[in-house]
Amino acid sequence: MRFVLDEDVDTKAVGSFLRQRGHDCWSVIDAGLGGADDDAVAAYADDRSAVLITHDAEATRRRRRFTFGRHLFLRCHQLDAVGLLEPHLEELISELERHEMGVLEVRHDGVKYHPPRYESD
Amino acid sequence: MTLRDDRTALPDKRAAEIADISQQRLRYWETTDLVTPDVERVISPRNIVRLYSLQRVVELVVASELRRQGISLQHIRRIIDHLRRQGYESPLREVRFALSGGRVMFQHADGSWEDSLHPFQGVMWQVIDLEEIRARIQGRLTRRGADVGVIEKRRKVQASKPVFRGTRIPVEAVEGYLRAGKSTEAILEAFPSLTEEDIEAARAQLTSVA
Repeated sequence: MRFVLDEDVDTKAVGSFLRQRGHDCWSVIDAGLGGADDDAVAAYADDRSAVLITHDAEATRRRRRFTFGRHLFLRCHQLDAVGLLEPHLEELISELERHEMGVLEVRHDGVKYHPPRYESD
Repeated sequence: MTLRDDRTALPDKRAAEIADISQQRLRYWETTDLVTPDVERVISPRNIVRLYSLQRVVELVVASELRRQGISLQHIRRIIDHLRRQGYESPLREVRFALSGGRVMFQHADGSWEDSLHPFQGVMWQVIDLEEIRARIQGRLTRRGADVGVIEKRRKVQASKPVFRGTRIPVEAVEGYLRAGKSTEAILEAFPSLTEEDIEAARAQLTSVA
C-alpha cells in the first residue's frame, strides 16, 4: 500500500516501520509540500492514490466534513506512533483496502472508521 | 535535499513565487492553457487546490523569463504551437531557448538550432538554461531563513496551537521528544523540515514554562 506522511508525523520512525513491512511510503517534505495547508496535502495524497497519515486533529475534522481520499488519523503523540500502528496494522490495511475514501482513526483502544458524510464529485 | 521530479507537487502560491509572477498571472496562464496545474481539486467554491509538478514549475519559470525578456504571450503561444506540431508535448521544458532583441531561437534535443542558424554567431544571445532553472527551483524549496527558529500560532493550522513558522509541525510534538531525552539530531531526522534553531526555540519555550 502507498502512504504519504504528513509533516507532523515522525518521518524516520513511521517511514522505516511501514517500509520494512513492504509498503511504499514518503513524506510531504519529499513532495515539496512542507508548510502547505492540509487541503493541499490531502489533494496531493489522493492524486497519488496514497493514504495520508497525520496527527492533525483539525485537518482530520475538515476531512470528515468534506471527505476525499483515505486518511489515517493517529490520535497519539508522535513518539507513540509506531507503538500505536504496530498492533493494528493488519486491521488497518484490511480496512483501507475495503474503503475508497474515509477517515480511519487509530487510538490506543482500537480503530474506528468514519465514512464520508457526503461524497465529493 | 533534492526532490524527486515524480513525487513533487507545489501549491500554486509557491509555484508563482518561484516563477516570480503573481497568482493572477498564474491563473490567467492556466485559463488560457499556457501552463496548467497537474492537480486541481475543488474543496469549496472559494478554495480550490492547484498543485504544480516540478516539470510544470520549470515551464512557468521559462515562460516568465520569456515574458521578462519582452516576448509577448501571443509570440510564446505561436512558438509552442509550432514546436507541438514537431512532436514536442511540453516545449517550454523540452527545448532550449535563446533570446536577442525580441528574437527567439530554440535548440532541439539533437543539438540543432531552429532554421539551422547558430544563435551565437554575430549577435549576443541570452540562453535560457533549463539545468540552471531546475537547480534554482531546488534551491528555493527550502524554508525561508526568516521563518527558521520562530514559533507562531496560525488560524486553521493544528487548531491554532503553536507551530514552527513555515511548517505545520506543532511545538508540543518536539517538546515531547525533548522531554524523552531525544537528541537534536534524532529530532531533525524525525522532522526534516526543522532546523537546530527550531529545536533550540522549542527547548527555550520548554525551559521557560518549567
